[in-house]
Amino acid sequence: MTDVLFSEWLKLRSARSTQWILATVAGFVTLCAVWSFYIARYWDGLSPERQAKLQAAPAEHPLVLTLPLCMAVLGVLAITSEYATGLMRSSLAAVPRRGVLFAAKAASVGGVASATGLLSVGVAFGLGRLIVGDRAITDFRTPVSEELPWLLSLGLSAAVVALVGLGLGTALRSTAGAVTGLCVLLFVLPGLAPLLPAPWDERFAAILPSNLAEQIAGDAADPVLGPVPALLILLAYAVTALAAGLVVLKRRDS
Amino acid sequence: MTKDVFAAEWLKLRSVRSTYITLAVPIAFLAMAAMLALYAANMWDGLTPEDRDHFGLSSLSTLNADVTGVCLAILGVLVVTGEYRTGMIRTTLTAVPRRGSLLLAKAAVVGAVALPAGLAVTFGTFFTVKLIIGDRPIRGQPSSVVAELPELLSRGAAVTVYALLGLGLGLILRSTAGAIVSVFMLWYVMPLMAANLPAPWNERVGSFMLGGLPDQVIGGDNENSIFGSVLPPPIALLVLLAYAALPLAAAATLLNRRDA
Repeated sequence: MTDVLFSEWLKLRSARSTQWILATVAGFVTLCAVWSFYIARYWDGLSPERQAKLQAAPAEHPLVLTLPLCMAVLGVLAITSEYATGLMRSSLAAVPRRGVLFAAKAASVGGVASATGLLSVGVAFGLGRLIVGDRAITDFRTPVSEELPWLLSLGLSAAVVALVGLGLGTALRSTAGAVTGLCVLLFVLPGLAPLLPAPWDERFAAILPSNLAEQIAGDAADPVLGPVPALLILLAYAVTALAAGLVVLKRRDS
Repeated sequence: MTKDVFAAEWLKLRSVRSTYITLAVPIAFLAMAAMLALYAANMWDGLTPEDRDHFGLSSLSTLNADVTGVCLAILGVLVVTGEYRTGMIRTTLTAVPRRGSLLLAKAAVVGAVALPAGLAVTFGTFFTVKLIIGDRPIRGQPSSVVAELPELLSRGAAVTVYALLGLGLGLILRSTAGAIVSVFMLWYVMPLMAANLPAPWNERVGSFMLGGLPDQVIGGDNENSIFGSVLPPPIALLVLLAYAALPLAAAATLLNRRDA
């Protein structure tokens, strides 16, 4: 089992796509720092009345949309690139027990994604605080202890999105199909939710992955779900997608 | 010679399954829009006059034009990345060594699918919804074809820009995942980030975002959206065309310089 885990880790870290994805995340962390710098300079130039009224998106904001997208691609490519190159046949010849192979893949993807998620969000947040310093900008001044649940749930949901990507990629075996499917889940469905008649518009929006993090953290203005149900639904996404992937992997020939 | 290149590209496009899937999604959305319109019409009939004032339904043809744009962008991406994945591109370049002709043929074929598809879906959604809603004056619903004609034409034709943008990005990145993610970044993530800039930059940058251009081309003001409207129609049209032209120009340079 350790060997399988190690080989999956080796495959994941040696793929050029993984390095590109991590570099993209690093790029957006830099953007978070640039954003904080810009807000700090902007704040300095304002009159005291306008300073008090300034509403600026917090430092980690550029990551809120892009981190899940990057992690989705990480999860999808962990499996579809193997199908695309034919490496999958070697993988299955070496590890015929498909459940074990899939568990190792999920563990390595989940590990990398949660580490990337927590680290990038934490660094972006920390850089924001450092750059803004003691300026009293509203959204940069909340105590760290109050921000912690939000930062943790942001990192956790990024890891869940990666696992959903792995599950969907295994089930569809197509990079284009799985990446598009995840983009629809992350970006298109939230736009369609308001079209539903009330109260279904809010209920449907509440269970979408992009809206779960703030409900888990208890930050949502008008939450439909409490933190615990929201967390369970988030985990259910990963479990459902991985189960679908496992069923397909076990039943179909590679 | 050129005719043969077109014929080859056309054959490749129509013989892959992904073409039909990407074209089926907008049709499925059309069906969904029809169901939504049916539901809204039924609901409207049962409302009191006061409640009718609060009831609205956003323009479904606009929504479906956006969805079709993304689907056709993915089609544009797959036209090239599919070839790079399977190694078909090496055969293609052996058969057509003049890379400019190849790019031209690919762009022409993608455009020839995207333009009619975009117009058909946009107008099809409009007429289907109109047929169902009838003359109920629901807020947010367009009044007549004549009044909506510029918007339908502009949004339907903009689908072609999405498709060519996808083609360009596919050729530049040669990776399905990378190109599709870039399309979603341009279509969805960037406008949301731009909207978070402090005024007046949110409106200025928002005006240059891809999704806000079709309305500015016809002199609209992008009401109720995150897009700005600082561009006059001719400039908006130029920016819209640049979204297709710049990636294609970069792709042409790279295709000439890089090995397959």
